[in-house]
Amino acid sequence: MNPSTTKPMSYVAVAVAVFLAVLLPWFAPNQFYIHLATVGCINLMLVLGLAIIARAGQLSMGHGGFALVGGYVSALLSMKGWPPLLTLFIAGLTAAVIAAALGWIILRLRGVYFVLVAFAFSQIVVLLALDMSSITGGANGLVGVPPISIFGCVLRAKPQFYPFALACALTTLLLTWLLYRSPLGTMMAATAENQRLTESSGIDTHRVQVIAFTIGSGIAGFAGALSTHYLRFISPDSYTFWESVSYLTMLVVGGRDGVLGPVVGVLVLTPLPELLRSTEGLQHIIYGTMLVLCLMFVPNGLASLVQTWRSRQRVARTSAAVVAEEVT
Amino acid sequence: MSMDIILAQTVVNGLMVGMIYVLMAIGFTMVFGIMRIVNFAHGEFYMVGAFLFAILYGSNGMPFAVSVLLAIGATALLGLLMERIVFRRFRGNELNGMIASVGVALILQNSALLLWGSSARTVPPVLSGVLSVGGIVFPWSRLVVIIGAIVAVVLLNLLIGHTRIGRAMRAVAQDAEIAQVQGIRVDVIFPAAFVLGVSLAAFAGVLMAPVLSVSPFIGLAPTLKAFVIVVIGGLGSVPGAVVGGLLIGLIESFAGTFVSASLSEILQFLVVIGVVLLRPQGLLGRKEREA
Amino acid sequence: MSMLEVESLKRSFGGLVAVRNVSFKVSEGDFLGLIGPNGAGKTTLFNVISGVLRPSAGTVRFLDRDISGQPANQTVRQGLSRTFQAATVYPEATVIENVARGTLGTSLTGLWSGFLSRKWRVAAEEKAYHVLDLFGLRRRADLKARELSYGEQRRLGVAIALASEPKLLMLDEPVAGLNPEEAAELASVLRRVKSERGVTMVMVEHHMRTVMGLCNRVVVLDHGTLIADGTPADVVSNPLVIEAYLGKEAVDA
Ligand SMILES: Nc1ncnc2c1ncn2[C@@H]1O[C@H](COP(=O)(O)OP(=O)(O)OP(=O)(O)O)[C@@H](O)[C@H]1O
Ligand SMILES: [Mg+2]
Repeated sequence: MNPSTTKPMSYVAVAVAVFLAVLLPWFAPNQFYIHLATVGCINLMLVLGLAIIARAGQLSMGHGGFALVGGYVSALLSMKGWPPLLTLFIAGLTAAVIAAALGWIILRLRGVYFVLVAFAFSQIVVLLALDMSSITGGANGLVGVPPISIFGCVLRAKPQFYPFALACALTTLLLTWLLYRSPLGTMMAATAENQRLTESSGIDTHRVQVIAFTIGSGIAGFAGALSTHYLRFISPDSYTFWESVSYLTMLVVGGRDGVLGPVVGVLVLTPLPELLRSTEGLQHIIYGTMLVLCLMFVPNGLASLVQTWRSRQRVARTSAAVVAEEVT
Repeated sequence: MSMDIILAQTVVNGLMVGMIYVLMAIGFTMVFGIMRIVNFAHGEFYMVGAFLFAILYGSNGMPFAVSVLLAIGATALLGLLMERIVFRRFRGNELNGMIASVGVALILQNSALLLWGSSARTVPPVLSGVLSVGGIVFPWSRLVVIIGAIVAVVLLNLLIGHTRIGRAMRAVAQDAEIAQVQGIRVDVIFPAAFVLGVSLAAFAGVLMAPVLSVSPFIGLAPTLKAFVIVVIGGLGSVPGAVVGGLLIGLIESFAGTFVSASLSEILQFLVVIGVVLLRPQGLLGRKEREA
Repeated sequence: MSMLEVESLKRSFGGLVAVRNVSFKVSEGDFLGLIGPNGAGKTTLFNVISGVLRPSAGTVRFLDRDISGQPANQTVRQGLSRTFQAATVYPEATVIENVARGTLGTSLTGLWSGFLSRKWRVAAEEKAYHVLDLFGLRRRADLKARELSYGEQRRLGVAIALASEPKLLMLDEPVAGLNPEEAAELASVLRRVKSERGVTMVMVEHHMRTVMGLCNRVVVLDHGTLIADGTPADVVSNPLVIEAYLGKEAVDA
């Protein structure tokens, strides 16, 4: 936003991080790390989608529902022979259209109602997936979803899929960053901070929130589809309420303010479930505890620790300048 | 089976489920009305209550009354602990309070999973046999749930309507600041309301334990239901919770018997959207102050 | 020319009638004071005019267009801006960002413009700096709004409203809670805004000295009813007004 957040230093840091991420397959000790990184990329997209919705002041407890919609749409179409590369985008679009319709209907609702409708919606998606078993395979889900292929190159194995997932995640990250800097992103932040004032500055805040919900849910649909083609499988259990909760945890622990928060949240929390596969309960307890502790002690997330430090410097600088001015 | 019998049993089932929802929704709406927190962990207290009862009464064979009191008491204590450690910091902060409650739900559900395992437990019915009225039979196991829930709602109504602490709670729900100026000890009312809500959830869990099977995962569905009902009835409104709970219970039972369970869920979803669009303050809710 | 015409406006909340059959006009170039005891319905009147609340009955015409019941964001884009009695700023955003946000609603062509180019931000900040200069806040530009003093925050609230370049600016108790120096400073800023930018103003204010010093006309609201309309001197000597105020405040004194 302001010049201090985009210093040359930050660009260097971003370049180094991207470079390391790209090189990962070469120095990863085994395929498990590549798998982790792929899951991280998919999580990052989901969390960024959630972050965009939160940026406009709404909380979506049904984020997984949109990922599930995307996963099924892409799986079903590609199993009918459509190219997965295309169905990924159709999946994202479908989720976005549903979100737009839902958002438009519940347009005027205060936060709590919005939360309920999004939450209930995701439950209904799960029910429908279970119920329409002739199409969705019911509780067993869909097995044997075709892999993605790009220009004849089939992304079947982990080392091949990872670069594609990384490219998708980085593109999403870049677009989110651009969005946050754009007028729309500014309006979203303003709406979240003081909706009444924003409305009285001539901005249709409901429209801003619906657009944010649409974009964020569309990204979830795309990411859900991506994950489905990676795992080659989708079932109603792929995205339950607790998955939605884990994205929320990553967002809150990382930070809700910028694009750095989701990255931090995903880096910190993605490895956990994969490392604690055997004791799933413990993983969730750690998630829950981190969520509560972060809300209590670092409500703006781990990424805000960096920003707090920066803004301290800024305040020091400004007040020094003011003092100097007043003295002369 | 004749139509009469099916109808009667559908009604009884609807009332049973509905009364459980009423208990859940009252606690949920009280916590929202008084602390302004949407408590996603509400159903986890139901789960804990059911588990404790299943262990005490079902597995250890303790006397019924003792099991009920211990289960509710221990859950209430857990609620008090959670209020002290977590919820009190978020009262009035709708967004973060909601997220924190999700964290608590994660912790409670998975602690139960680690402690008690994931397999479902069954609890022997408290009363067996049937009541037959004019040729139609009603299983006592279900009537017990309905009667127990009605007793709880009546007692709660007396508490809210006719005691000092009840009046204080209503005052805080109306406007916490004004209540404080009037000399009401808000710092006592908040935990009291929270613990009361948790106890109702625990009691609902105790009542349902013999009817359903008990597992760590049974908390989420009633949470969603309570949320739905409270929005339909009016956020913060206790009578609204009663009406909404019975309505949803009956819809569920009828749609479940005659059509399909998932259709009933979709129907409820549409009811919610209809209500929030046409009457956002809920069927029996007061309009919130605008602007 | 009459800029704002309010006709038989009514707004009730359940059984309570907060604004009852109110009619008045604001001409271009006016500085209208709106006074009345606490709870008289002044803020409600503002809310209905600016589109934050819908009227229960009556019409609001702005620049000869019927704007009754139109959402606030459209009203602002047509040139009617207002400030709030409380929570008037974005506390976590910098001062310059606060004012830049105020410019967005009226100066952008579409939501998607400026996705790649940064021109819009340069333009918005340039506009915002001009407004900050007017309000003497430029030196505070990089501080967060919550780091400002209370007086500065109130001024910033007015600056945000002015950033949308309104033709009519409605201020809800802008000097409430300010000390005498701050109040005088804000009054002189408002005078400057009026002369330099030619903005017509309506101000709710309890502070009579500010009202007398700034306004060329005053209307008085009591229990939702308009009981007087005239020059400041006329109004303060009007027996109805004296009764409305003294009826309550003489007892307090
Ligand atoms: N959203 C609302 N819902 C219900 N009643 C309201 C609402 N807004 C205002 N009122 C009531 O309408 C009456 C007028 O209130 P209003 O805020 O307009 O007065 P005011 O003249 O601005 O007072 P003050 O000088 O204290 O700012 C009051 O009795 C108030 O309680
Ligand atoms: Mg007012």
